[in-house]
Amino acid sequence: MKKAAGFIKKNPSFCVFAVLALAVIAVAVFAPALATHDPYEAVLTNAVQPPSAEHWFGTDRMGRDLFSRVLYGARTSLTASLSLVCIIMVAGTLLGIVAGYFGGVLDAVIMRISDMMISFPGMVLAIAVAGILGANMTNAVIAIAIVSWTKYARLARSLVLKIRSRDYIAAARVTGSKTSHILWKYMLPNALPTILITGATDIGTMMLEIAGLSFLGFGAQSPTAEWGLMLNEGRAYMTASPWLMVFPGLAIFITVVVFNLLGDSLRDVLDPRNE
Amino acid sequence: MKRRNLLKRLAQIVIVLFGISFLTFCLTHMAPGDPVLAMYAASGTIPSEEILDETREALGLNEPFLTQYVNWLTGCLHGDFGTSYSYSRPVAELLLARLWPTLKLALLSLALMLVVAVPLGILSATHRGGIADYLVRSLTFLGVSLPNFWVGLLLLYIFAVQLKLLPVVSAGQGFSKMILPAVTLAFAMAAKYTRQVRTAFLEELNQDYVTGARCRGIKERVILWRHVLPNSVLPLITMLGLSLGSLLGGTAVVEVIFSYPGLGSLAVDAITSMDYSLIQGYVLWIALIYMVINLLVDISYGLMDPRIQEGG
Amino acid sequence: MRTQWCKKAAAAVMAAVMTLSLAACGGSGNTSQGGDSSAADGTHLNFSCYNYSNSMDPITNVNSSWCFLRYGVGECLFRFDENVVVDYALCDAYETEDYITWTLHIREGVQFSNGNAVTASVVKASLERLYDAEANKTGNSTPSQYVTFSSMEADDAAGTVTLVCDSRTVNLPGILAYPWYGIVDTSVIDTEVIGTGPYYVTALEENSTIDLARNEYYWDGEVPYDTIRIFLTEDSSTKAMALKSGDVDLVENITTASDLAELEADDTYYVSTTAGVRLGNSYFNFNGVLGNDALRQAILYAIDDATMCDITVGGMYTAGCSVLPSSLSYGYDQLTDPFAYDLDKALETLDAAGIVDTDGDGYRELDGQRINLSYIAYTSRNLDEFAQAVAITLESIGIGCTVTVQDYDTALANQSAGNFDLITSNATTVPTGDPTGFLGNFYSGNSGTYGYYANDQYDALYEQLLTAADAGEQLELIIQLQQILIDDAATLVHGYYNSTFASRASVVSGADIAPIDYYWITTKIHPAA
Repeated sequence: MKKAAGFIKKNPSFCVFAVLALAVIAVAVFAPALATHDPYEAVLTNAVQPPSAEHWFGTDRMGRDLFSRVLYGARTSLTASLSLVCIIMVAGTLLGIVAGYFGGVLDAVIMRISDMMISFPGMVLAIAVAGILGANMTNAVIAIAIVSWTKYARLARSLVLKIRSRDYIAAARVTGSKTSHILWKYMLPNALPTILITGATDIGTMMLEIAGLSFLGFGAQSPTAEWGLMLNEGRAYMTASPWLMVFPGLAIFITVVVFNLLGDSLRDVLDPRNE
Repeated sequence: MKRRNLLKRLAQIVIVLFGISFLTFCLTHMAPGDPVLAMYAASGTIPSEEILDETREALGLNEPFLTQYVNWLTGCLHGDFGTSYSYSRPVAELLLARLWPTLKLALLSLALMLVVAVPLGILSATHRGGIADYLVRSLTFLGVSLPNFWVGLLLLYIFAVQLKLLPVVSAGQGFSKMILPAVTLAFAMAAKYTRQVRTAFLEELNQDYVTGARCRGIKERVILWRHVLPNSVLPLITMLGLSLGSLLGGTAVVEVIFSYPGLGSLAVDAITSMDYSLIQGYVLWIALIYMVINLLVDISYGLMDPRIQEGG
Repeated sequence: MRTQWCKKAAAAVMAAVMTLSLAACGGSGNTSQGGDSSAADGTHLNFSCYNYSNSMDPITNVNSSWCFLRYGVGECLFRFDENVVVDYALCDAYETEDYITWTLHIREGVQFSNGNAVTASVVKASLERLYDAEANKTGNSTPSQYVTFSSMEADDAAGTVTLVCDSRTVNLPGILAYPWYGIVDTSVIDTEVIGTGPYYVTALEENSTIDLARNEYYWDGEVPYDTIRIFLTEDSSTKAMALKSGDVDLVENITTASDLAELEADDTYYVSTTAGVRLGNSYFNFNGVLGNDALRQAILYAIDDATMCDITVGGMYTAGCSVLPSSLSYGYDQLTDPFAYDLDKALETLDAAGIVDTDGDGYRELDGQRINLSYIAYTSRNLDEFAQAVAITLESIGIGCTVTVQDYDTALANQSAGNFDLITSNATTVPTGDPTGFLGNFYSGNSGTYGYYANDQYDALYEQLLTAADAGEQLELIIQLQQILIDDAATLVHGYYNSTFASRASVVSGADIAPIDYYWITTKIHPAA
């Protein structure tokens, strides 16, 4: 208990943002309880109504409650971007550690592939991949994952290279520790903090990219409640029904800000170089 | 840059291009849907199964995968990127026609971005911890957290619809058509660059020579403008190169919002109409341009920075 | 010291921002000046419309031929006036005794926009090319749907083309007014599409802009504009915004109800609307799961057409149950709709037919298969909104339905290939001045591209209609045909579309939309005084 209090005192901003992030996650988890309406229930006669006591954010053109849809949108966006970040973090880190530790052909192949991805504007390939695989949320996540893992691979590799030749690794090898044991016990923990910081700061960016793909029509498909898609649907009604554009946009903005701030403050907590 | 390094870079570019060409070719092959059917669909025709098969034979689509790839690659090397199904025109011609508008847009947004980012970054760095710094940093935070398509829509709504200052449809207008798309693109970038400028400036301010100069009583203004600014702005050039490259590929969303006839909207069209040869050509072109720009940036960087020249 | 530096820097930033915004204003100022100066040099019109096709060749498909006429680039031998009555165009006289052999006189002195003369042999070549393209599948236009000829002869000396129809064709002038039969200069058709319209294409950027210029050789009166620029715009609200911001002077079919209401309320704009002759519907694919009668009937029961027309698409359509619009005089009042909106009956019908959810996944199964309808839509004329509203409604009664929005060409190809369960459509019901052709979509000989509907009784009555000469008999048959389609739940009728043109009143005059919207840019549209 005392420890926790000390931590909070030492890292006040991190704690504030962590609470905010948890609040956003809570909104997503408890969306069914918080929503005032079924987000997929369309009452066609109630289309495009301005915000009111009954519909806090108004209704969309199919007469669905926008407030409930924005809440459910948090589920879609958070699930997609968190799983995306997890995928690229795990895949990238593993490949990077393997490349760095074993070197040789394996390293060359992995790194050339990553060169290929890095020397290429990511969004283009993501759009192409999403477009070709067919437009849906899973493919959008796959598409962005394909172009984004390299960052983690490079990071993990460089971290591994730094300690590979250290004495204690050599000692472990000489004493006959299994390779998997070395990777798991020494390499991974060493790379983890930096990787986690990068991952945390990436959540916001990934959220924006997913929403962007959905906005272009290459991500979530109607009638899914997804913020990017909702913005695209509301675009046609921009002048007469601005709430269709304002609320989903604000939802993306607030969520991204919270996760960006969290990422930054996590860096301050974990990064030993920071004063 | 040494010749050996240059050759190495060129070789790397070739390898990467080769990989990308293979990757896109694989992807279009994995894609659901029949490219031949898509091709006829684009012209609004559904031919019989025999005609479909004849066309496949004629296009060499009945060949094994690798043969097809080699054929396509050979074509590309001779400047023949195939013919677009939906436009029934050579891919190279289509891409070339859209390249300049996108390049113009990218350059304008870079210029706009620099005009905003450099002064703000410097302001923030020289007032580290002050109100100005705090404000600028909050602004940059907003900048990186706002979805650019939302910013685009809001700008469109405010400037084009409400204030009627700028055109709504960007196709075929004069210079003014580029302002809103460029501002939208510059918005998020400016935030990123302001942070970079700030960091670079702070690092430079902590250098020994600055402390030395201060001790010698040289005016703060002189130190800033004569020494710190040139040194800290130099690394930006590399970033600018990278940004230009990713802008060429990353303008799609903005081009769609503003109906701007550039490479990005062409690519989105190509993807929605399953125009595979156009997608392949587009991806390959963008990769090539991106890497050439990066190479040029590295070379020019070497020429400009005296430290690197001396060292190398 | 510090605060001073701060002030200075702030001033610098302010200056930079102001310069930028000034530059922005200056930029826009320049353009509008540029626009004015070009107006002084000559008359210019900016027109914004949806892009239905990148081709303007009448043989490519329906839409390309429409673009040929709509952009004022091409014309037919005949044309429809404001009352959908056939009038002479490139043909100025005809003779026929038996409605089989027709001798058409080609108007003298008419020239294509490139200066080539429109001769009888060119007209013949143009028509032959159309039929050849259909026969060898180089085009998707199907002119033989309306008429086929056993021979075509051209007599350049007399200036006549003699067409011999395969069967008695009373309405040949109306048919020849359909855009497919637009006359092109066949001598240059391999390189460009040249017609006789008031304007010709000077530049074309696909999916973006088309530049037109005055056809100096135009035969039918003065051409008001020196140049026209067409902006091809995907979505309706962009069109409306472009009109409001002054980027364009004229737009067709604003389909966002809110935008249209705003324009109508504002004197700055002139909005022209016509009663709909277009049907908005979704074809069922009878070769798929929708071959099941109960399922189709349940769908018709479940769909609330009136609400969709009035609210979902904001009154852009007028609701109805028959394939022929209620505004036309084809006996709409005598029809009865057994499947009018009634959600409870929809559920009853499904349950009674054993189409129920047996595995508890929330979706009903038919023959042990979970129903998941593939619904293809394209974004034109609110069709995607209908599709979504229908899909949402169907999902709510346990019928799985996935909407895919495609571009028009792709959707059309999928329709022809039968790759759909439901597909949206919006078509003119009286394309040649009478509804026979449209009713032919449900004739089993033609219905292959419209979802394979087949009914022997319908076929027999339709064949009778083709040969009927008496107007009363025709009307009686047309009413019976409509009722059969309603009783068979042959198609999902959404409503009848109201076409609109909106223009800036201070800049453009005469921008009225024709009931048959083959004609957008005409010589009637001219600069305001």
